[in-house]
Amino acid sequence: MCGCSGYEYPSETDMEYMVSSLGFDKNGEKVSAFAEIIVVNSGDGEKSPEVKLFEGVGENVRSALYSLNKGLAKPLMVKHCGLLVIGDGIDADTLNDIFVFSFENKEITQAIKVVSTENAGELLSLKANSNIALGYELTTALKQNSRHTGIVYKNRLYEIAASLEKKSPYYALPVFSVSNDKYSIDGVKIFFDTNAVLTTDEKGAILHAIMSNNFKNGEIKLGSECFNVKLCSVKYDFSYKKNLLKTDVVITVDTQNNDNLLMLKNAIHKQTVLKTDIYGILDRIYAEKPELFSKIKDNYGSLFGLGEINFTVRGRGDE
Amino acid sequence: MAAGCNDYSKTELSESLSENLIIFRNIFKKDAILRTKNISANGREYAVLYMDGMVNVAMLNDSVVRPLVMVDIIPSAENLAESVSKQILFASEVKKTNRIDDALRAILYGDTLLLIDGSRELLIINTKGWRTRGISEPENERILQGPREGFDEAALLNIAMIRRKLLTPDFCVEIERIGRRTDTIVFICYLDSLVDAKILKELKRRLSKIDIDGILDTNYIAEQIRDNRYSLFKTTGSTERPDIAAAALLEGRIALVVDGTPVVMTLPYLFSQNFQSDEDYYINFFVASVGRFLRYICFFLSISVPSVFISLITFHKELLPTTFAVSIAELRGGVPFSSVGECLMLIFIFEILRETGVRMSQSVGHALSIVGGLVIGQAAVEAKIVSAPILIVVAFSGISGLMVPRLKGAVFYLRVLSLIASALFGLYGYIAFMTILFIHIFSLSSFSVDYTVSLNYIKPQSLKDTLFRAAWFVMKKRPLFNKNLTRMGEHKNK
Repeated sequence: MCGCSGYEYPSETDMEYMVSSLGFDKNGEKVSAFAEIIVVNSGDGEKSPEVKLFEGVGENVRSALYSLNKGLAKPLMVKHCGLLVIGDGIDADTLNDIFVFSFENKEITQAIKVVSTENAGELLSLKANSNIALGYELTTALKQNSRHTGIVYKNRLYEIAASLEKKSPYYALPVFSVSNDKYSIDGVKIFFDTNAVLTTDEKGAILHAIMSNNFKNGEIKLGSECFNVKLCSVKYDFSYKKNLLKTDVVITVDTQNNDNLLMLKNAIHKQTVLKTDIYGILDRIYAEKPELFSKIKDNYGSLFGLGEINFTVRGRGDE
Repeated sequence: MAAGCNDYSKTELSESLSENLIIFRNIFKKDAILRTKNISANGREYAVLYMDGMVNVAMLNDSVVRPLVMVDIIPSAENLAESVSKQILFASEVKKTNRIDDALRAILYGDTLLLIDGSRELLIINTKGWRTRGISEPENERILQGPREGFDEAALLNIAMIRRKLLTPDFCVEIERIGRRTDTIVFICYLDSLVDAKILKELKRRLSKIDIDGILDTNYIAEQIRDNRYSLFKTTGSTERPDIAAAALLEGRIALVVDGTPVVMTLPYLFSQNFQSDEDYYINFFVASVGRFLRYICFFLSISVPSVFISLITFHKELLPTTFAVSIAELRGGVPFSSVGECLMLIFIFEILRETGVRMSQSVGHALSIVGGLVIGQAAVEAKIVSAPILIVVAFSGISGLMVPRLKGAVFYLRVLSLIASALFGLYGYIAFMTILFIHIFSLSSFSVDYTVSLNYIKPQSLKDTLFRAAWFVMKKRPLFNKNLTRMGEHKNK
């Protein structure tokens, strides 16, 4: 309510530009800000409403946004902004600026979805096929993908804010790629705080979803197959003597198809060569053994990197 | 020239007929309607005075003139007036008086005065014969099912209509006269075993304090005796239907019947009565309950919809679904007025159309509604003078308000005030306004009875006739403010 934190002046709906999605990218030292705007009453009754993409360039996020606003006849209204696109060129500091801007701006809803892509401008310049604006269409595509694969994307701004508060601030943003004027969702990009640590493909995204308990109803889809997956156990053992952390993860997959089982095992193996706890094991330790957590928290990164992580994937009937 | 009959209370009659005639002719020297007929009979002089057009001439001739001339009785000189009244006149109601003010009241009300030479007293004979409109269904209180009688301007006839429905000696009628120049008769009606004596006493006290030139309608009295005079909500009821007046009396209320107007006042008047329809009790309780509930909802919607809509599209756009927000922006594009200004303008236009439709004759009214609908609904939107969403909102709000005709004045003001609050402060302003409104409603009273007494207590007895209308066999008790709560005995299944 406007009365809770200072008076907000009223404005007419047609006196502002409605922003459907925002995007940020960085090219060298210059930050680009993109805004996909829904233009109503553009003069052509048949085309109204029309969607246009505007760009602003600056030294940092705020100056890029200022440059974007400067070129427009009306102020931007971001209350209906549904998507925030982060380009691959965005570094950790710039991403931090983007999040600070998003959290501080009262008009941006905290339920806005955040996605990653190689080139934010290229993605946002695509035409929407089934919605008023591309931004809304991409959020719908994410929902559809989630329904199809079983992955629960926790990429809303408030979910990212919650992740950043954790002891192990990992979060994953879905990755959109552009090819032949079409977009597709190709895995996730995993961040630790504001640093990008890993970009996975679709299979890796599924594994990450399993490990971070972000999959629906125990079912995931890989290609045309649907698996009933259960995270059986995550056990860890820390040897004070050897200063070594060992983690054993057991996953049960309800399939008798050996090829699929092998595919999943290979995907997991591929991920286990990584030495970054993208699976939130530190969070588990914090929740289950706070005394252990307090001992290892300061050098957890190296501990995890030097430690063992064993994944066991069992098929149906396996004991 | 004196103002009213009371100014002649100290004037005395003499024994001389000619002197008395001079008194009356002086009083009515500028009144061309007074008629005088001198009669000589059996050695005595009489004078008949009456107001032309207010008496039944045939009754006058048959009960007064003919007996005086034809009856061969010499009245006793000692009690002359009494003797004439009992031995000569054929009238059913004869009173004698020696007071000029009483005589004036009588002649001005359609009675005939008989002055007798040699007597300080005159006779007042009931010869009332003024024409009335007749019993017809009230225009503003039409129902589909139930009695169709309506009051008219003759108070005595109205009392008779009520009495026909309450065949009990418990029905009491007291008279007050109010108005220095009109001396209007006001009948206070109640059922003695049900009325609250404190309320009755308070009513009489307030009536006695009225000092006004004239009373031409019930509202003259209502505005002077009601509680919370500046409130938008009325705390006295009014009806033109005898069945409604009788029902009010049966609930322990008091009815004020004012001569010269078909509108009868009832009190105390509660908030829940604004949402009652006259035919609620004549139709099936399921059907009546739906209508009753809808009226509550419509009252709330009528004052809320424009203000909530304006606050959403100006302050809280994030609460709108995105596609709806885009539609609103598209439809409002090009309209030169702000949404608040446009809404206010349409509210006033709606009220103008509604008021004009009420005042106009039916044939013109039909054409006007077509013009109003087409011009405003079609042409103004196409010309981008107004936008379709706000037109729809205002139209819906206006039509919802018509569901509660007893609050039509209040609804207009509340709608505008709520809109202004929302225009200034958004939903915060709307909530604040509604809070103030509820506090105000709950603080009202009607002759020391809480205005919202039936809503204050979450009890079956009080709720049976508020949001919905319970079946008659369940409504065994009267409204809470009554001293005698029992309306009926135990229901016996037959």
